[in-house]
Amino acid sequence: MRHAYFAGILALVCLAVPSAAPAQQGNDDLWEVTTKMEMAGMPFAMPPQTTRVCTQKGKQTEAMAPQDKECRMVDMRQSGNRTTFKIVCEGKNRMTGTADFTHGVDSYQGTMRFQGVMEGQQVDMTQTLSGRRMGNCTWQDPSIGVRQMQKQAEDQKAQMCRSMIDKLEMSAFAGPAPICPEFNGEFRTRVGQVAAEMRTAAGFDRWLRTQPNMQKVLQFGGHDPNAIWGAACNDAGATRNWAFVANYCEAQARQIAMRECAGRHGTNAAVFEYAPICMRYRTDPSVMQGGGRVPGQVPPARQAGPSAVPPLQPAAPVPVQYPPQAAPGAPYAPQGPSSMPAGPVAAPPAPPVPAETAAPPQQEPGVVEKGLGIFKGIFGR
Amino acid sequence: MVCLAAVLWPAGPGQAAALPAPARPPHIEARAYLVQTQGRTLWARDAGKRLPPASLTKIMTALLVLERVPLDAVVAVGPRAAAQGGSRLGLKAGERLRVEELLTAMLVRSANDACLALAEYVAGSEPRFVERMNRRAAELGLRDTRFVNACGWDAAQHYSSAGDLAALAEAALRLPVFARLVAMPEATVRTVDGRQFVVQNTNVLLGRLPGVVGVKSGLTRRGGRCLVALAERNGVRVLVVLLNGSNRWWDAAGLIEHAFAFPAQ
Repeated sequence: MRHAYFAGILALVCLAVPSAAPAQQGNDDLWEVTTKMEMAGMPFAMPPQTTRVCTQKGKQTEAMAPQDKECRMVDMRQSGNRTTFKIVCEGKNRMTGTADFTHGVDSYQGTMRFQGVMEGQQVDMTQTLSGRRMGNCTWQDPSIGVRQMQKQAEDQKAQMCRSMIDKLEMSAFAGPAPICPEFNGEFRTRVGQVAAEMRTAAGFDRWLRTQPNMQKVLQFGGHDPNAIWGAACNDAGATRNWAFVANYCEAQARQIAMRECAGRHGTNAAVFEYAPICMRYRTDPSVMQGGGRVPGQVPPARQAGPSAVPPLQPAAPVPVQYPPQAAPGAPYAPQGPSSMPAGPVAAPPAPPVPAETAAPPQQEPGVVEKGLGIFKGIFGR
Repeated sequence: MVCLAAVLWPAGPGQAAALPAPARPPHIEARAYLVQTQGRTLWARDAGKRLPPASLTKIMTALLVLERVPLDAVVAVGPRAAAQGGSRLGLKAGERLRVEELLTAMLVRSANDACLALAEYVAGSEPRFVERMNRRAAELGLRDTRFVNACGWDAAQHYSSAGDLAALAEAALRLPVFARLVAMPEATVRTVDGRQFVVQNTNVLLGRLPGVVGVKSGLTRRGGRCLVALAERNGVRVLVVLLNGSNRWWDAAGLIEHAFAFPAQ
């Protein structure tokens, strides 16, 4: 309580002296003001404070009253070079004050005495002030500063909200107390853009890693996460991104595994392209043993039980552009169907199988390769 | 196992299911492995564990040869080299070949006779060559690597690690001749006297998995199936090291495809 009391005193003193404006140009008056305060019962003496203040031309007297909306100057009287007035402060800290000043051409001096209650404590305070005009300045209405601060706060909030939009932070736009409701439209627009990106395999994976809450974000934006997922799987199939299919598209992965991986060993060069899928199912006997490739035929879909998911049928055909045929020697020359398998799919031609050598390729120091017969059997088609 | 697979793997679209968790690296059956993209490690297991490197040893052998002797120097195959077992070219004692031909046989075919011939030519004897190998390993900061022989035979104190082998491979790949030789799916090796051998690269990923340009395979009883593989696509490099794997071709191909498919990891 005592701390608040002294803080209140300091605030009153500061409020009585308008904020300094360091500019030397303009049509208003720049004053250097020295203030000394004495207070009955105060345990220490405050040292004199000197500051520069800018007051409206010819209105330095009015500027001496506390610049507080709860304080007002009353009963001002001028006689020669002497000015007196009273100050009345209402509100929580009810005080009255009297002021008595004498003015020179470019100077003044005087006293102000305040009596009343400050933070629940009785106050009897006397300020001794002297002022000297230093030059010109441009006075600024304090309310302008307030408006500037408000504008600054609004700009900062807009910046923060747009940052939340970029990061798809839904909490700022949804829920019981959203902090950026006025940006809801922008957020939904952004979600729409992301939803479009997520229809590709690369975009789907990237956004899934970026925003753990993506399902709810998409639903909030009015998008069907399932449909987007399906489109990404279609894209992965069209671009032969089997790692994506292996990780995200079980129905398609399982079909491919049964067609390309079943019955084959990991040394079979024909399956290298499908390695991500084959790796996923290599310990699944229902795929690796129950599938099996018959030339010219595709194994029938298996009844895998309640967890089975029918092949994805997009609601509307997803237009797919084939990547251009790569030049010889280029890393990739994808071929294949225009959509994920909804039925039999023509497999690409298998790369040539290495001819058997007299010694097994991996017969390296000190090892006799076991199961040579297995390799010979598998390398044949 | 089917039920477990259904639990572990996302159901896929078509159901009213939550979006899946981001893709994880595939399960690898190798004893130790490491995957790097653009020199940054993506995934690893026991990358510092000391394991028999098998013929991956020949990467160091090749590095020392390329750093010390000219490619057109002529080497006479010694009797010890000609007597080497395991994977070999079938060279005869006294047969002469250029260093580059022996390097080709060693790196493409993993030929032990070519390997020992080079080691003896460079240092005079295999033990002295091995000393140089270990000194070079120390220079490269390979703290989990020690060599006892030049070609990768299983031995008690002959070991390396997936992390060290990745660093060793990168050091060797900075030599253009090494990078060229390990990328050859097949090659013809010629002796000075006109005998020639057509050899297939023991790295079966070459020419079959897009972008693969090396590096070396290995196989011994203790070392198991080992592999250092490098793939480059559209300016992105993925390096895979597998030690003591049971299904290294699928594992390596799967890891390479996964690394290219999910670069954001």
